[in-house]
Amino acid sequence: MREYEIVYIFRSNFTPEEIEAKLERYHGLLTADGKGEITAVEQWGKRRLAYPIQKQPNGYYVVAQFNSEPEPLSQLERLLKLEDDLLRYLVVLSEGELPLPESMRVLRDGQAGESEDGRPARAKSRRKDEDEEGDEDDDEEDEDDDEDKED
Amino acid sequence: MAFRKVCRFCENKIAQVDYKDEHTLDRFISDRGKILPRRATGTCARHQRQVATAIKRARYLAIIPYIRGYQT
Repeated sequence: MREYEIVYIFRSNFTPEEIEAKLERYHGLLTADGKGEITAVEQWGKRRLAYPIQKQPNGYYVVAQFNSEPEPLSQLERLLKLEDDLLRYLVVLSEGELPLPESMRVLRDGQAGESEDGRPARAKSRRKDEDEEGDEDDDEEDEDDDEDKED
Repeated sequence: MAFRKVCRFCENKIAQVDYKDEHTLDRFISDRGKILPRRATGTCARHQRQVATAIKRARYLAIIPYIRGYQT
């Protein structure tokens, strides 16, 4: 079991609810065996792409962090490759980054959270670089274990 | 580019450079979108490696451009 982070870029013509439904389908694959667990989902919402992808100027970004065994993950990737509505995705080993960087959080909170849509961001406090605030995050200890190993 | 004695990630005690943080990565790419060398940014070796990886991931995710200052 290791910790991963996935970034999805969907086509921008979806509502948060539609995205939610897709995510549920994807993440269902990971949690199906009862071992995988989604630890954080953060919808960045619609964003301008730095360059067009499939002629689309905008994309809908979602970042999720999860624990998984290798097999469900490869199943997920197989599914994602076939998705037409997904412009791009990236799975990386999570190094304890926040699902939304601090600098972007400040920006978004300034805009009165219009992209938030009441979507609670779980596991906001995963900072390892700053002093550990043990009271905020109880699953911090078991997360640290499998960090150093690489396949 | 002013010479920096200490790597800014070490200074801020950032263990891992985040590829999603475009505002930070922006300081490590040139006006053409190239990755700046250590001599220009003062980044330490460990963090420079992380910066390079982070920039490449961010490029793939269209968070930062591969080439900047160029319009078709």
